[in-house]
Amino acid sequence: MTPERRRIVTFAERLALHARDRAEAPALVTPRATLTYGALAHEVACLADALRAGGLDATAITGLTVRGEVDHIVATLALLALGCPMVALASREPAATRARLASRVGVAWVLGDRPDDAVAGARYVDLSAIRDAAHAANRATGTWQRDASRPLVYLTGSGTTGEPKIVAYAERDLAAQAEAHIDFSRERVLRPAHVEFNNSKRMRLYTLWQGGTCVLADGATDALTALCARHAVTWLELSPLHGASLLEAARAHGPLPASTRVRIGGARVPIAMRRAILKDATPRLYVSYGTTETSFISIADPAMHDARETVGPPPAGVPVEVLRADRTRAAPGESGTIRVRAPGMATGYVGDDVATARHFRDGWFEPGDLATIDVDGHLVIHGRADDMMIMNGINIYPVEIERILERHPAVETAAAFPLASAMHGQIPVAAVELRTGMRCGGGELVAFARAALGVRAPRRVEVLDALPRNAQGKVLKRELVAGLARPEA
Amino acid sequence: MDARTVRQALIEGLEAGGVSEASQIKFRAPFLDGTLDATFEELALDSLARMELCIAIEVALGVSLAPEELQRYRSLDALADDLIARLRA
Repeated sequence: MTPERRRIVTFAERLALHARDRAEAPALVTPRATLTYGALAHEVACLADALRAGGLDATAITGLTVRGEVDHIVATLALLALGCPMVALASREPAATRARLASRVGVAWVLGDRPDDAVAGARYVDLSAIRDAAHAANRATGTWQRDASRPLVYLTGSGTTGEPKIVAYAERDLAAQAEAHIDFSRERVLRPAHVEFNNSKRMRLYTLWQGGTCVLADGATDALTALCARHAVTWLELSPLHGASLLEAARAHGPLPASTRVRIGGARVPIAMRRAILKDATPRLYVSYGTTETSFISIADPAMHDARETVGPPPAGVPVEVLRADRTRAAPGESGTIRVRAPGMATGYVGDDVATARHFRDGWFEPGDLATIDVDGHLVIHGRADDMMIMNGINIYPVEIERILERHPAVETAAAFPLASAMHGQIPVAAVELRTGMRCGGGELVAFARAALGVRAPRRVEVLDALPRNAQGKVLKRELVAGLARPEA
Repeated sequence: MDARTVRQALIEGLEAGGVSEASQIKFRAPFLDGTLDATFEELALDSLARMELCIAIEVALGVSLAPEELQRYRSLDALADDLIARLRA
């Protein structure tokens, strides 16, 4: 890295540098258009000036309800240039959910696509009107804020464990995360999840910080394999749910281009899915582990996929430890709770001192995941510590049940969870989705699991048409617990 | 919930506890029909088997029983009858 780049701490400065040094390099590519770094910098500057002329108060927090991928990214970069804090009020969320998040964060402005994007108590600003004004003025002063230490980007967790926790990152945090991430500076990166998803937005910012190319599906419904081929994608970033879509596409239309690597993260990636992708979609499969609070923690490369379902070794500069219940360090291969220090990581949650005290301790972030670090330094995640079941004093991890059930030839995906019992504590049970065209009864699966797990086996297995999932593809175990009611007398 | 469902839950609980008779057709079929009974001593239930039987009863029927409570029942038939009575109450 050159000394000049080291001094740069804001996205506006970084964008200006890319626009100067590689003006014609593609920054954003959609099925309809390509925006070079030169054009992107100009668009961002014009929009920022128009927002400033429109009276935007950069000290207040702005909510973004912007559906267009390019519009959303340009608006994000313009708000960063003005030093204006922001939070995505995602269009896919119900109005009540957006309003609750706006209230929690203290949103004063909403930059939206249409009037019903407004939320009570915040001033609504129509993005298209501001954008028209920006194009009419075609003026870019290029004078931006330079304080990289103010929290500007508010992100929410997935919310699978209740009300989403909120973290706020300053530009220097995001810059540090981007510098520690995979080097995208010469890559063309497609992440099909919409930019309104927090981590999708963050990955796009990393790519732009590094000077790479964001390929945006932007509503295109083409198969993933076709999108990758058409846009010469070199990195395809997926959730496990998108992993299933990739497999469907690869089986229907053939594998990914040889130059496309795939990274899957955000939830457990079962070994069956890894093997299927390696066989049918690409031999260049990477599986990573990270959190909203830290970004990237570890990555497994294509040679590392085995029954352990490792997420690979943490890179240099990202210390990871596994602790026993007495908070001493666990031995290699011994299970415990994980803690991590990563460049640019969060230091607490917005408006939640209790959760902050629980998860941020002694300069480390403790996500609440159970893990082992094997003798070869590979990290294996065993699920949420909160998810561990205790039945009659026996510790049972959901993931051990899930891994066994998914070895059954009929099972596509399994989810294990507890049935609360006053007598026994938590009785392990499970629900499964079967592979297409396969049939199997719950009793057979109980017996199959019992043969491998003995007393830690699920006592009941429900076969469902589809497991309930959130928009990111994570299985919603709370819904399974609620759905698997006790039998009617 | 009918008597056969209750008896099926008991068979599954015994199987989970490794009680060999529960897997044998000469025991299963007449027990499910209500024409064969057995005492807990005859089945030689150890503590693990008693726990598994209670867990199976709770999961299948929603009735909580402590393993020690099994001693109150003279035989599997008596347990089945009590469970049916509880479920119908």
